[in-house]
Amino acid sequence: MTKYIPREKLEHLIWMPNGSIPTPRSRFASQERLNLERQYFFMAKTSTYAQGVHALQNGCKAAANSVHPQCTLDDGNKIYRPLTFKENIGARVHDYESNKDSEERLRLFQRWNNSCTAIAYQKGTAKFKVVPISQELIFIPEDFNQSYMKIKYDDIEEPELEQYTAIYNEALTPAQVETHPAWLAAVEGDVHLLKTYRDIVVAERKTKTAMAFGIQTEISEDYLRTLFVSDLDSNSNAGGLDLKNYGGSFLRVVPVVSAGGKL
Amino acid sequence: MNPAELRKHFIESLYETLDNVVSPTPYIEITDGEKFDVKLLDGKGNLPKPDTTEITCLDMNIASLFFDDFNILLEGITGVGKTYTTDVLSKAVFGPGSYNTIRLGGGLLGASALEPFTFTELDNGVPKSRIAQEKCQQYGLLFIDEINRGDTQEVFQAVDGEIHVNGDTGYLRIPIPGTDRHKKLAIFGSMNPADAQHSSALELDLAGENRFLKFTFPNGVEEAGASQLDKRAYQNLHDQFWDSFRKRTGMKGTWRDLYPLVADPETVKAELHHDAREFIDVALGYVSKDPVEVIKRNAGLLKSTGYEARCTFKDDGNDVQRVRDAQKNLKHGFVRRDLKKIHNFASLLAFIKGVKAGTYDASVSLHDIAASIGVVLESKKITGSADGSVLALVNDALHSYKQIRARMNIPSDIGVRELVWQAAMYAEKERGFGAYNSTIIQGIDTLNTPAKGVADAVLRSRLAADLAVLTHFSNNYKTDVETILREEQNPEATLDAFRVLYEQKKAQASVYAHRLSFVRG
Repeated sequence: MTKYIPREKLEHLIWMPNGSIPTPRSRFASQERLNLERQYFFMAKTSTYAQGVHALQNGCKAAANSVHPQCTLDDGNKIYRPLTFKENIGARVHDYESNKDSEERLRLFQRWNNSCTAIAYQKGTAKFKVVPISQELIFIPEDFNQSYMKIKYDDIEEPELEQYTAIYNEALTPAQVETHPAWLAAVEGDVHLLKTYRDIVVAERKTKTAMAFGIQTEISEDYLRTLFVSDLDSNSNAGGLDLKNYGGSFLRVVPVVSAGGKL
Repeated sequence: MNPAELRKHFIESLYETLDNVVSPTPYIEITDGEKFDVKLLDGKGNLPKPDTTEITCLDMNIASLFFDDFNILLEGITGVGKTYTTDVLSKAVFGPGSYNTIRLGGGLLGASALEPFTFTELDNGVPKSRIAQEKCQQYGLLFIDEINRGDTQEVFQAVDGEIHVNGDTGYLRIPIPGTDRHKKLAIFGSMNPADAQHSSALELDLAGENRFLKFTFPNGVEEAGASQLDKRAYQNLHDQFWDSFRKRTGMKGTWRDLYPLVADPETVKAELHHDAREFIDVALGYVSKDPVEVIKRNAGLLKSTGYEARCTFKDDGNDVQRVRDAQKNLKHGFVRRDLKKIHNFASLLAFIKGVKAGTYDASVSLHDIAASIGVVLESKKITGSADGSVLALVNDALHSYKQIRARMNIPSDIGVRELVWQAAMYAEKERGFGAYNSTIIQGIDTLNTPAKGVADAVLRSRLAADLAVLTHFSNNYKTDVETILREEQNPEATLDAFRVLYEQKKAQASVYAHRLSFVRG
């Protein structure tokens, strides 16, 4: 009899929106090896989101052996991008589990994480969409100084969510988190990752509710913001973050360096 | 003592007893691991290598005792040891009076396969055959020599374990102590090859061969040479064997008490891994049918579900011809009964490998199935055709299947179609029915691309076509599928619910029943 197959064994076959069909990995073993060779660190905070994106891109370009994720442009060139919301969560989980018995385990939880994942709102409605990799955010001009970016909501080909279908702007119980549509969209449907992360937050916060998902109401025009996850002391909430007034706080991926090595 | 331990002691005692009696006759060699290979040895063993298992004719005979649906037919020229090997095995396990050897033959004086189980009485002065019920439970093994020269219908009755004579019915089996089950009478057959040197021999008909696994008993005399002179059939093999078994296990009783317990087929049944099951589906189209026709059939299915078939390959003129040449040697293609034979023989190979590795485990792997398909195919060859050509096809198919799996990163023991299907179910739960369809389409697109060769094209076209049928089924019953995925939160329950839907609807089209059975597992 066919058995249920855990998601992590088949996630590479699950269709993803925005045409980003995941490339099958050649071997699980090599994927695991790759993860083990990575580590994450916080870049210095910047005044705006846009400045943080450019600082990240410049830092990666300057590194000889950067392993930070990139996007491929139509002309074949590549550009470094901020981690997605899901990658940020994955980084926190990975780092936590790699340092489980040390004080270091919560180092990535101590500041909020910006991402290249966007939350897009529709004018005059309670509808919104989560865009895992937002071109607008990756190519944001360095001098961008608005609290949000105007867009055409209808041009976004992502599943639509609606704020009346779940609890928003309030702390959630563990059971509510794992079925929460916006949280699930934010982690690109990776329930296993979401549950693991939730369990860490609950255990470390020693609280019955946390991880609120915040959304804007009374939307006067179509626009998007970066989707962020807050620090642990703030209950690890998620939501769209103002691009102007909260500054940039990004994780950068670097290879693990052996003794005597250089970045 | 658990069944695996009982088997261990049974087999160790048997090899110990027969060591001085039977010279090993190497039959096939299976190399596991990355460089999987199956080779017919024709009586000539190779030096032992890591990951390689040599299987002898005696191994096959012994292992077959553990499978009720598995009858061995030994084909070989007179004097190579077919009868001798079976005879000493029968002597050791069943002892005098508890196994029977009959030689069939044409004409009035030829024996009947039912003869050991019948007697004749006078009915109003007319001699009439009746079933002797006590004889139906007297024997553990029946060896039918020159099986191709007897009454086919009578042979079939004996092989099937249920005989009918003049209105009486007899069941050829012995009870398994402590259960309500029975152990079927083991049947071994032998025949001379139906070639020019054996003018009186006939090819066994299709129905006969389908009931047996026929393998060519190699003539290993030049290889074994003088070592065979030391092998003599001892008179007390039966006592030696069972004394050894009783001593090892502390059990008491005669063969009639112990053998059915040890060889109870229920205790050696092994589930097929899903990749092994899928390989049967995809490989049979390549090894036993015209590959071009199979690709066309799959292309037709893809087209009828809205896809253009793209599993093309560049034929240099030799690729397809090589397959056709190998298939020309087959007397007939696969039939339904062969699927069971493949499963059983794979179980038997797994069992032998488990014995040789000392694990006595019988779980059936992809490699066991591949080897089994190869051996079953070889058994269907026209007498006298060259050995090994159809095994090479199986090796091609396995190589292609492994490459497809590697490209799609399919974890071991899981089928390609099964994984795509379950990925689609995750997608539906997370993003709706559109994502479900897109996930399957993405799977089809990955498979439905130009192939590296004919084997690759056949296998990928089959997998892609099956997934296309899945999209058709799912869209036909979209509301049901959506309901299942919406209502069931537990993944296991979702699978079960989908399976129930499939069982309810598969009769709507035979193509659903044939192409989507992977859903059932």
